[in-house]
Amino acid sequence: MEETHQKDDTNSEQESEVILPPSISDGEKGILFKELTTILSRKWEKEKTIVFGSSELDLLLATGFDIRTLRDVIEEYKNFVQILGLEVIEFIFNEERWYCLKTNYYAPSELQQSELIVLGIVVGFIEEDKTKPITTERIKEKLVVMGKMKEYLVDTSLRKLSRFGYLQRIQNEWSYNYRTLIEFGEEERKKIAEEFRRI
Amino acid sequence: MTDPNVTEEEVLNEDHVSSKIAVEESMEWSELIFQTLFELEKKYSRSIKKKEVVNVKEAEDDRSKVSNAYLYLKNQKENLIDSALYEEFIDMSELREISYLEQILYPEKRLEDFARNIAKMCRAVFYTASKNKINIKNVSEIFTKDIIDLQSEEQLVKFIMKYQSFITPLKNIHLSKGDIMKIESEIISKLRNKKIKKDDLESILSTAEAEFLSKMISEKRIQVIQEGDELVFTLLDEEKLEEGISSSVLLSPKKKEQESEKTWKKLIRRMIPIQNRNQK
Repeated sequence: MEETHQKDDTNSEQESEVILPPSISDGEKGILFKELTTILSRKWEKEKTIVFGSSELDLLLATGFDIRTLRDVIEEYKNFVQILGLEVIEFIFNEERWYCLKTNYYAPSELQQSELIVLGIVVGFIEEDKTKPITTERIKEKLVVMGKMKEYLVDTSLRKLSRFGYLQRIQNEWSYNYRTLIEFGEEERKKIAEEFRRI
Repeated sequence: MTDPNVTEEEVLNEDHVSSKIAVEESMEWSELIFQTLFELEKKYSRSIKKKEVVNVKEAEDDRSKVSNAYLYLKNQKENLIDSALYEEFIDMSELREISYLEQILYPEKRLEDFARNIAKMCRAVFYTASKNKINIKNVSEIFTKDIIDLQSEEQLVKFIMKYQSFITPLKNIHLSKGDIMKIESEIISKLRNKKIKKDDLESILSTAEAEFLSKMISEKRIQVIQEGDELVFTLLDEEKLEEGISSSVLLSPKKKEQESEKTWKKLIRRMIPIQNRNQK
């Protein structure tokens, strides 16, 4: 009986042990990279916001790797997709690390003209003075009061920008969401602020 | 016309004093000019930075104040300030023109340009365009069930009219050469050297088979001769073509179609050419 108990114990130990791949073969890597391309170019809807790619946790669960191996694999994958003019981007969404793909060069945006204008106004306000809160009223003051845009169009654009992950509203104040930071770098945001001063 | 009482020495002294005053004056003047240059340079660089337009009259007055300044500048530092100021006059002129143009342009147009410039700066996220959900409501809308009486010709016609776009016409059904040969050999085995009444023939043949029979007769591979009520089928490989008056028999095939074929095909009637021996 004791022997069987001992056997049981060793089995459970073996099951709980996570076997880490010491090195991944080239063939496995090929399959892994193909799967990564598929998963990182997917579009999801999480809590009424659109997100792209995959969370690190999901990748860990799917691959069974430890965090260091996964990050090493992603580092290598970055070189692989660079040839295609793509870039692996890390971003934080809901306090979780996510990975997605981004084009290295100019690519047409998903946004319509009115949404681009509203986004530009918010970027202009934020870059001009980060301490001053950006409320919907302030945006409308700039666009609607001057008769440049209709009020309903500003509201719809703000809703869409929020859903697409460009902007987020916290306690009646608008701020950047992950996607603005991904698609518009620091330099680009400064240029937008310059353009904003002219309108 | 010199004063005779004034000696030569006194004249020389006077000249010296006057030239001394002139030098002192010019030194004060150059300092004043440099001061003006310096202040104007500060003023214009600040205005350009803030994109504040100085109006034409004011700018012209400022320019005329320093137009001869170059005559009084002594060192490189002063020259540099002078050239910087002139560059700022040019920049201010450009800024003024742009602001005038902007005032002329419609605000909508300016916003359009703004949006275009933002779009140009975007390096978009790469993703495969697809929806995450299948809209089940739409699927159920497409696949509705219609219960109709197959014996009722009126209901069948209505059904066909309703789903006309989903029905594949017979001519569009693609058959391979093997399929055609198979159907033809089946027809031959059914009809070869047999005497069959017209009603029996309708029950033996399906619509597609009737179509093929018609085709084979017209290609002169099968000969059909009418003997009273019966039709005699012979292969033309075996016997020579009998001469006679050509006529046709209208067939309404009643054989049940295969599952893939639609029931509405029953409505289609086929004409098959025959030769009437009695009227020979």
